Amino acid sequence: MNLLRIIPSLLLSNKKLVKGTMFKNHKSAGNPITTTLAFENQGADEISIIDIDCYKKKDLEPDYNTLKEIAKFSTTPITFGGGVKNLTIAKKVIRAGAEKIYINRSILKNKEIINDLVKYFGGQAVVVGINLFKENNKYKIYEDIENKINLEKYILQIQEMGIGEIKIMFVDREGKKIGLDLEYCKYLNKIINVSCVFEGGIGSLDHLENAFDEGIKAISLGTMLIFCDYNIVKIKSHLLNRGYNIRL
Amino acid sequence: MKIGIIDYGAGNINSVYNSVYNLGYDPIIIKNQKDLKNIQKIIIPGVGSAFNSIKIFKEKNLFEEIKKIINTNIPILGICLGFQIFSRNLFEGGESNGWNLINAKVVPIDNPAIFNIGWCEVDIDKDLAINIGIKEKTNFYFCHSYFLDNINNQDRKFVLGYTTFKKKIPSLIIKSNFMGVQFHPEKSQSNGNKLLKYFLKWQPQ
Amino acid sequence: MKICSSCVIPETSETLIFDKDNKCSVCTQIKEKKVINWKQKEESLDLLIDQYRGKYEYDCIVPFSGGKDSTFTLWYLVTQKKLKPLVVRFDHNFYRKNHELNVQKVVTKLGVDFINYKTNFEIVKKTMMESLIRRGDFCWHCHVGVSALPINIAIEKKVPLIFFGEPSSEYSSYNDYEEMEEMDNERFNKVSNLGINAEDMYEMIKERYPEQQINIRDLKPYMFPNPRELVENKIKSRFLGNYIFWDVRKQVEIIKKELGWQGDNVEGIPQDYDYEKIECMMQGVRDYIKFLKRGFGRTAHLTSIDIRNNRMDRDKALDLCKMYDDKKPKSLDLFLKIINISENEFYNIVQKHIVSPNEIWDKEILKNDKSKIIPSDFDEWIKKF
Repeated sequence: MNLLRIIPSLLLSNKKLVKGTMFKNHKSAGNPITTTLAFENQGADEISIIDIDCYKKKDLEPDYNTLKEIAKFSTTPITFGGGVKNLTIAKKVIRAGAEKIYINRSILKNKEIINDLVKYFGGQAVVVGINLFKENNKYKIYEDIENKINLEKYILQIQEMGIGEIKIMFVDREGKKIGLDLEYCKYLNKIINVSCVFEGGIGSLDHLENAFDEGIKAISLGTMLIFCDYNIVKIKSHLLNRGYNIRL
Repeated sequence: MKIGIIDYGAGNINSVYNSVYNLGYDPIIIKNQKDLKNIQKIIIPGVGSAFNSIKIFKEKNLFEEIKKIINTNIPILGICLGFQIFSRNLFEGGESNGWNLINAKVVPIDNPAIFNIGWCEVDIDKDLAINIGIKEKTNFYFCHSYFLDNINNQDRKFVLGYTTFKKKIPSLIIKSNFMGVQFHPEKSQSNGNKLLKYFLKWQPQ
Repeated sequence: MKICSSCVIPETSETLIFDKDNKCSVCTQIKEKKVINWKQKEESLDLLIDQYRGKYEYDCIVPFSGGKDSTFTLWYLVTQKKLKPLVVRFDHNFYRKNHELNVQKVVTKLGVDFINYKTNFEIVKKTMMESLIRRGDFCWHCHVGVSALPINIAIEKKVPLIFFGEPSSEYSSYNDYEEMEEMDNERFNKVSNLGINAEDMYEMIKERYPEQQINIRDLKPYMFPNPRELVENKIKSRFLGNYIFWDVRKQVEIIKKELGWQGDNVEGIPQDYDYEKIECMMQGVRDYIKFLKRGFGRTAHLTSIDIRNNRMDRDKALDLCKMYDDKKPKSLDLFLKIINISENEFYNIVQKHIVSPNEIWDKEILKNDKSKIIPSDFDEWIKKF
């Protein structure tokens, strides 16, 4: 049986790490190479890195060079994405050292690329990210400005295509340390039948405990590790103390 | 020591290369037959689909070459898919034949397909665990949806590590000059490093 | 908030795991200490030393602060094992006067080569502010300096063997007594640097102080080698406490007798603990912050070690903690002046870092609960800054 996972979430911009609140006001989060190694040494189960510059400039390819530098000393699975628009780019990302590909915006208009990636790398290497934003008490996909996409249908469609994992980010909670929206996570867990990672808003050990109690199996942390004194060793010792099936 | 890491296209050779390099060695990348000359240790990494990968192995003329190295004194480490190819036949992406060192077939863990992605506890043979310097129950990182099934009775004694994920999954096999792991030591932090260190110093009897 | 049933450390401490009787992992692992074959360990120490003795410019590097642990380590290696060490001290800028006397005495009496490495205080102040804000712990430069500097000097001087002193299993559960500790990247990132490397701190202070023209070279003394560099240079770091039975009180008696090492009075703890953290002016503030965050301070730490060594009973320890751990130290005034923030700002920053399940406190109440202890050399400290 798989153990519960704690996955630091790193955002890459101009070869440096940043972290913000609700996708804005990014502040320095350190050097990507040393920070990744630090989290790994502290026992992170995986590392998630997204190149956010690719979201600002449409034709930009992901920062393979920084990923290569990170991968030089990494001994932990890395999920890397941001700007993965086709199989060629995906191949370069895997070659540069990632274990899994993260795709999000590229597939909102056209899901075909998922088939290419699954066929070439196997579904276990494909992670689809979905950014959620609560508007008028309803969740929609953050980038879906015209609110055209039916979220539940979208999730069912991508799952049919053989992907290995979905990553849900609660954008309106990012950086706020208020915990995940557990009610909504519960609902999502009913329709998602692949592995799922949740992120957005975790700020305390209680938030983590509550999330795992609801059946969530993997959580991504950003603010809690970067702007607070939470060491992954401490987080995991605490969880182990409380009986959770986590690895130290 | 000349350590070769086989490059067959989809395999994540850089991670394996870096792990070996950071342990103080200078491995080379094996792209074709002639790179195998004078090789003293081989590592076959593994990310990808079985059918495609075996096809590429054959296209690069490496399939037969590696088969010749089995049962010699050149230690081979097979990781994940690189481990599965040492079985009799594989069914991912179509049916193909492996090197048949272990009489087993590689089939999906479950139907409909599920992935074992994440850290799992592996039960390891006591003496081996002591030699490697890890506990009998140690965590490693797995990322696969197929596994070695129906290992025939004679080969079963070579399985020195199992994990449980819906089924009992053979995770560590040592037979003759072959060491195979279903998990990814290059992605298993200090536990993985200890296993790699052990392989790099290993001389099969 | 759970407190260990055996010692007085609560669950907010970094690595503690409690068993079903609510006994913490440090108390449990102490038992191992007694059953370890220390004779065999000392034999392996001798074997280790033989591999390096006489082969390099120095037999080993000894990281030295002048505190009780490094002083004992140095004394032991020089007088009991007859080694020729290069003694290396990271100077965090806050050493006390009496302590400096100790250092001179020890180094002179033992007859060793000694390097004191002090770093740019303008940079230190910035890292103090940054790590206080990000981690609620302003000592980043010191944690990192004492770990990284000896390794860097070992590489520079081509002296691969390094001996640290106190094993971390005395007070935490990162390692148990059987495991051979090393100062490698894993330890550095898990235990020493608050998860922040020099390369990270550089980006962070550059962002906070953009007009200051900070250069990556300013952070060089804090950089730790990468894994390959450690292997290539064959660096072998070891902890003396993995080879001999570590007994703090006994060791303090030895260094007092053999070297004339002297204790001092220290803020926030019962005054007969005159051997603990006597070297640092900022120790009082540091311990106070720990209390604010985690609900326990240095008195809890020291009395717990005594409990584990059967030198104190738990009730007495609890009483002492109530008396000493929650008092605002006099040195806080100096700290605020150096970092240039107000008392309110200080409490507001630290409050963000309270470790659950420690409860949120009222700063108005805490502000007025002042410690009566004033270190004897306090006036000198003010003069220095």
